[in-house]
Amino acid sequence: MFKRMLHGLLKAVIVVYAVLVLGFVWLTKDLTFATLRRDPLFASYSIAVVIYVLGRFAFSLFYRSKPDVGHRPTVSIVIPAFNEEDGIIGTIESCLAADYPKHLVEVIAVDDGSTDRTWARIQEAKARWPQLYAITLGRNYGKRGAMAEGIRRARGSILVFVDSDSYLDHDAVINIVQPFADRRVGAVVGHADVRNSSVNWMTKMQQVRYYSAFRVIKGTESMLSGTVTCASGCCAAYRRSVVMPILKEWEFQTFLGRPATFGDDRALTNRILAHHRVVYQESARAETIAPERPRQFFRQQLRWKKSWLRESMEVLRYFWRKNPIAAIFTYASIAFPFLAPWVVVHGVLGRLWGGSPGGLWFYVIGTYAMALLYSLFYAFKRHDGLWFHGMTFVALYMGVLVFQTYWGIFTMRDTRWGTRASTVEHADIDQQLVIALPPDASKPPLEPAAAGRRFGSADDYEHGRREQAPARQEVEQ
Amino acid sequence: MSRHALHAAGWSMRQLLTGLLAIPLSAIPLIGYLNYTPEGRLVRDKAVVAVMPPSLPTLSPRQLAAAAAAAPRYSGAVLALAYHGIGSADGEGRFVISPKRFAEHLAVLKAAGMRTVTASEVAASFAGGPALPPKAVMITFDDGRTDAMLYADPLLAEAGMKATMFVIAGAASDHGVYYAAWDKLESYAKSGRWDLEAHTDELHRMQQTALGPLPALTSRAGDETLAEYRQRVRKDLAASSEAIERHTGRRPVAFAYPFGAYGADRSNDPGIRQVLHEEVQRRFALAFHQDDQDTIPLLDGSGDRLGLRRLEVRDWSGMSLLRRISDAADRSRPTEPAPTEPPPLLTPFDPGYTAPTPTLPGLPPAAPPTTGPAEPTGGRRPAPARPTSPTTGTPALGSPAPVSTPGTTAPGATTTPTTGGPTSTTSPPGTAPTTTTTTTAPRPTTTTTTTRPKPPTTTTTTTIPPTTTTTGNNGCRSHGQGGVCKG
Repeated sequence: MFKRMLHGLLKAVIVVYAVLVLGFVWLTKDLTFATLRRDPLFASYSIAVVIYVLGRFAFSLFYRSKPDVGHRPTVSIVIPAFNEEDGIIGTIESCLAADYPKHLVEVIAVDDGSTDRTWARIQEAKARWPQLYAITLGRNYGKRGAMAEGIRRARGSILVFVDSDSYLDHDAVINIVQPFADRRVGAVVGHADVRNSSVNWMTKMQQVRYYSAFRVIKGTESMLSGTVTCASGCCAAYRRSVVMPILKEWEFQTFLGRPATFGDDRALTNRILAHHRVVYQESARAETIAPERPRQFFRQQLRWKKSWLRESMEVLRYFWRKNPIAAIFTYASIAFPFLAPWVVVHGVLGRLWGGSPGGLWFYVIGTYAMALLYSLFYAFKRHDGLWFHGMTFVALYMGVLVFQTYWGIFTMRDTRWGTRASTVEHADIDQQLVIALPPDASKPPLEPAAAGRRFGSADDYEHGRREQAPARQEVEQ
Repeated sequence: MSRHALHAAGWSMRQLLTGLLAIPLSAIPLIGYLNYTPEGRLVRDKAVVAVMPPSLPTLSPRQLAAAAAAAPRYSGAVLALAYHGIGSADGEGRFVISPKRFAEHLAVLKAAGMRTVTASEVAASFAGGPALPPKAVMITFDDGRTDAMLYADPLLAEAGMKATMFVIAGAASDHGVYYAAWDKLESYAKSGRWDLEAHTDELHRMQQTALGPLPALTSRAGDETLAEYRQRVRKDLAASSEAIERHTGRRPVAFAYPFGAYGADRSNDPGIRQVLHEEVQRRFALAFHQDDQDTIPLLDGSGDRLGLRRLEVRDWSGMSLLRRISDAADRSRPTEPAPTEPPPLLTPFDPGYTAPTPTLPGLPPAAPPTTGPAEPTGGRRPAPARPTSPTTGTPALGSPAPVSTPGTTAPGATTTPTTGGPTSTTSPPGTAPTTTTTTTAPRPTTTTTTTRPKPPTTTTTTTIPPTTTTTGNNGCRSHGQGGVCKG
């Protein structure tokens, strides 16, 4: 009772505070308009960003997940894995335990020629749960190869992709298939939280970031005629019938003459979005592991940035045909990262070299206010005391990550994963090397765990033991 | 919120409290911005005015009686008050007073039956137009600052008073926020409460000279000749006057010298004072500065109308302000020996003019009697020491007649023709920061004039009674065109 009151109080305080921050933003509009003629680039950027951010907010406030309408298509859950011996069992278990009619779901774990004990762990899982479809490719083809092999062997009409470091909630599958009741929908992305969000400031920051990237950005895109630009790999579902025609093209995508190794999720979404809807389903939840160390984090961000750059070129071509508001948002979101570094430099240099000293402070406080609003949105929804880490993310973004846009362009041809050891060249899957263990119909399917449990206990993921936390799904550029 | 149930293990009261506690902490940057940056303060002030419009305090019967009793009695003259900013005083010291204080001033002035007049009304009256009302005061603001108008306007409206705003035309066109832009100024002018007058176009700044930074209006820049200086000033004054005319449809009649510098000091050429005077005269009927705060007189149109002095209002109580006005009235009462000499004839503009004009008869005209033991009401800068010319020697101090320097000296020589009456000070060009202390026997006045190479150029003037007044450029704020300052 007391706790509930406290939560209510917290929400009330946050609402009042957010209104005050909005009031502050409103009051600064005079400053901005006054600057418009003196410093048009800077002022119009500020105005555009504020409209963009607040616009996204305004839409996302009205976002609601699709309720369970009883839609139960056949589902294949595909888990590509590469050197994931620590987490793979937990991931498989969480998929097998999903609340879904057992005869309508199959789980396919694909080992992409791991050099550690991943395949052994998958076989262990297979021994425990005979209904698992276990595959090893025999050699390393890259994530797309593993996914494509899984897709080709899948029989479900809906394909659910789960990264090997992600964990599905028990009702995630039921919820993620509901939007497919609408025939226009080609793909659905679930909501991802950071599983290791309590580890350090980096993961805390990413937890808040993920939340706004999913709930605010994808939520808005979803409402605008289903135009989510990236169905993140940690938890995404596709209609098999729309994937199959483009499978080869996607599997062997090249960019600047090199195999496009990362950004598989954004690339697949992009190809489907051109002709179908892609929506976000908040009620389909998964947890994923976020990088814990700055080095991994920056590499991951750079990878996302590069795939974002690559796919944005495609987006530019067709997006104007989509929902006009979504198109404006999307084109703006492509333009901002290109402008932002200049604006940062302009603000700082303007301060250093004469200029109006107010410029930098105005820029900093404006950015802060936007970060604060994003973070307060999180604070309103989640009472885990992590909300203010969202501002850390924005600080890091404005200070360092904005420059990755150009860094990404300069290093575009470097397609190394960054966290993965190998760089893979395109090749058709050599079926001679593949070992496939299809579901064993002779043995009755085994219930892996009770519904409602949180799958993958803490032991599944031991901090510090693994050298690399791949977390390769894309959240947002 | 099923997710919350799942998170139950990780959930704790501590997390909730952390989240709650982070809220006030996260407000610190916003509060800092609103209180410690000029733009932020302006944003805050706007919000404050919107939420709680300032209003005049209600005076108690006793206060009303006290104000009425302390009220000065005069007519046919006006006292000019100079304000700068209204808002919070952070960082700008005496140039800003609180809205509450300003409201108090207006309430007390009103209770004392003072009547406000604008610069254009004063100019008209001096020119033989309608007489000034009794107990006239002129509330003036310099610079056209947004904060001043934001707070002052509703208060003036409530008090039924009017004010004069000396606008920096260039700053108003600059689309900044610190200075009100033209559209705002226009709407203020339309209200009938504000008389917009000139305060230069873009010469409200300091410039680098061999003597250090000096006001751009009263110094030659680099190797600029005096003729070029004249052109620059003429152009600037024209621009400021025309901008105001363009935006308000009314030609300004009054001018306020930026930083109160009119060439008597803070200059690098003795000829400047003369040239500036001429140029101001071409366009304006009145011009104001703030010298000698201790002896501010009432203005009655006598004397040099281009050297009118305003009382710089500080964070005084309303009654204190009223007493100062009364003092000024008392000082001016013994029918001031009106200037006996007719206003001087000024040299018509000569395009070939370069050298300092050899002595013009008293500029400013013999105006308010020279400071001297006999006439403590003197209006001029009190007896600053003038470098002794080898040829002329020190003019007899206290001599009421302007000193004529025989012969002309080449520009740059230490001897400078007096352009400002017997007591003017001019740092000879090329002379590095000079400190001259002159104690003259017949006069009990000790004056120390210090010209420092860096702004604020501070002139410390000691007069009887020995109060120290600081005039000059303080609280200088850099804005846009490199250092626009109060004054």
